Amino acid sequence: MLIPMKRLTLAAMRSEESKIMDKLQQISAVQVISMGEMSPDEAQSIVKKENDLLQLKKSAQSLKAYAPKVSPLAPKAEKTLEQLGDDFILSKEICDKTENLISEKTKLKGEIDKALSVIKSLEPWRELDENLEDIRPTRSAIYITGMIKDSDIEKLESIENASVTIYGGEKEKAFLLVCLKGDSESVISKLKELSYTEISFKGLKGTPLDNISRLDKDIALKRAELEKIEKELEGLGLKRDNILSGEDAVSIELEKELSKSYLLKTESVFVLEGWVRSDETEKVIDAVRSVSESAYVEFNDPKADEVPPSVVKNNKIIKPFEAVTNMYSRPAPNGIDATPLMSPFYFLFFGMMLGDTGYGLALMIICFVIQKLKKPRGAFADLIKVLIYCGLSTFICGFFMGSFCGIDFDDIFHTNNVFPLLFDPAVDSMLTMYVCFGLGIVHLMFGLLIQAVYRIKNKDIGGAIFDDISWVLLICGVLIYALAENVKNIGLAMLLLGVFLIVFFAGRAKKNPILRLIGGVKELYGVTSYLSDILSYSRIFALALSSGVIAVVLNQLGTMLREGVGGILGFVLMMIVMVFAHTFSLAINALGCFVHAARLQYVEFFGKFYEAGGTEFKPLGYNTKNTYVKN
Amino acid sequence: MELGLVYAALGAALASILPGIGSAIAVSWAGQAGAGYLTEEDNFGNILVLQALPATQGIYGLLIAFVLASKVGIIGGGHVMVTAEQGLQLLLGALPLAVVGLVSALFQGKASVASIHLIAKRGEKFGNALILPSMVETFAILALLVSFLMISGINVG
Repeated sequence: MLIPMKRLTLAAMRSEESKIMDKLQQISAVQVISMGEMSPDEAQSIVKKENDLLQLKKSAQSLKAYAPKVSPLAPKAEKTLEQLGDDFILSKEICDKTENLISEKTKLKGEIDKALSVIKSLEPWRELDENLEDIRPTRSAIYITGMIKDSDIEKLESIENASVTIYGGEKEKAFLLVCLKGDSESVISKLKELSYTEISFKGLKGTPLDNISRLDKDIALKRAELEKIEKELEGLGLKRDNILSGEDAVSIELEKELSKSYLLKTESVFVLEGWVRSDETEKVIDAVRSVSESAYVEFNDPKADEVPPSVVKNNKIIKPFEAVTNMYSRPAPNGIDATPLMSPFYFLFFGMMLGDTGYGLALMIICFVIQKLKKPRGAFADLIKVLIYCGLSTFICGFFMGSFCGIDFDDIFHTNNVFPLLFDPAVDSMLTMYVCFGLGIVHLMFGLLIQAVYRIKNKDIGGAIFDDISWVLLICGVLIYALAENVKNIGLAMLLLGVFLIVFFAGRAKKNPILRLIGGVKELYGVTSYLSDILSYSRIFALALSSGVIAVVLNQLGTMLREGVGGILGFVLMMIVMVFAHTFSLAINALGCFVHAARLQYVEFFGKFYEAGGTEFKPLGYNTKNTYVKN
Repeated sequence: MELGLVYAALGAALASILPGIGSAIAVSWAGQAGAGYLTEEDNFGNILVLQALPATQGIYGLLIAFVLASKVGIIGGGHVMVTAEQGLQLLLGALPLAVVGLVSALFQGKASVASIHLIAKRGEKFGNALILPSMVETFAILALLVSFLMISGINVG
């Protein structure tokens, strides 16, 4: 059911602004509408909060690797607002430390890498017993140091007027070439014919060996330092939860600041405009009164040009299915809440598609465990509940189709063809398909009737009769004519009445009688869309078939495995493989069933009556990501 | 092996090969698109679901291959006489899924990739992102139905 919204106008003294906004945030019942311009001060404070949030997020990300592992099933922590505030103060400190340590760590790592690469390049020169700074041109001689390929060494040594020493190296050898300055041109030109790379030791002093041992010591020191930093980071990792709560504290503040910037303000007074659920007006008045005696509060119905957010209210059983409706779109504020109308069909279709007692049980148990351990809230909690219902439906349908994880009930209970109680999609395929079409027709007709009732309520009786009931008459007429031999004529009459209504009245918007008739006939052509809508329900059969047959296939493979290996080992092996295989099959089939059961609602059913386009009601409140706020 | 059995085996092989190829390529596309977004947000679960959507054609292929192969006794034993005509009929029965499975998997993969791009920008649109690729799958489902009904309608032995 859609809840009407009221527009709140609240006026109070500026001095009471903080108190009132804090209180409103606590009761989470008012969505503030943006009225005023953001002042520079407000913009600055918002930007500051956003930067805080970014910094906290970054640090939390950096510390992720150091934090103790948390089970994905662990519930979120519950904290009071004060605790969150304390965490924020703590988290600032942790953040600064983390940032310093991380930048220190990157620096050290870079230095170590650099030293390592220098060592690597010096390695071939180990045996060179000269100070590197001495290898430089003298008055009469020049030195060339470099690396050369093994195959060119002989050619290098054969260069005239040059003295060559070869040192170590794996693929390439280090060499030192000395020649007189006068010969340098001829030597260099010969050298250039060979494939070598020149190496210079700029900035290094002492022998290569000295350098290597110095760098080794240096690296050892830096590694020790790095280890210390890692230890400290690990220590900070334990406090990562503080950062996460700090993030929440900032986002709560940020949300409040944003809402404050929406207010209209004068020197001494501010005005707040916002949306409130009509059943929560008392709550808002009480809350405001508790902090301010003088504030003025008024509630009005939305004006024609004001579009309130859409809020629906349903009983406990139906409520989770709102998540399915919202995946399509929230209802328009003056439209119909489709959730209670859609959920029984969703329940039934999902069950028929998956249809297996084993899978149904498994789905229920898995989702139940998630619900108990994770204690989710919001849309995710609804989704889990929907899946529990779907599991139940799968179990019930599976019972009537007679299978447990693809094993026929007859094989389990050693009965002779007692099961299936209704039908087995893989055997009675045509029957199953007709059942699906039948359900589809019921579903579609129900959608049309919903629209008819809605139109009658809105005094559009013509629309209800000519656009909705006419189609119900036509389609039901065809069915009765084709299927019920005895009352054939009644069916024919309904069919003709339907066609008559459509042809002569569907185009009634047009004044010109000929255009009107053409419009009507065009409408009648819409019968093809009903045909394709009905055929679309064959997917229920197809998915029932595919999930059922895949389970059977898996079981046969398992049996082959057991017979192939033999003995107890074969049985154990089969059980292990089967658990994995059926879990996979359940996951992929449940996904398919979830999506296609939803599609039948969205495209076929909602297409008949649903007005989409509502916006979400987002009251100012504690919308936190990492913790729950205790009031 | 009689000629009929050869045709039937060809049908089963095509039903598993072609949609399998299609699904493999499509899932890979979606995986590549999704991997690019895993660096930023923690939405692995949602991306995985979108990636898995075009995998079903491969499974439908497996299903039809299995139904066909066990019908003629290639799997599960039991000697069945299959004439050349019956074998050809079975082969034709497998074709709708083999061909439509291949093509629809590829195009569903493209829709999946687009949906992954969508939720990378707007995570709250996951519901819509889930539905768009599954519209493509409708045609694989219809082909699966046709193939299954044809194969189960053909009498052998």
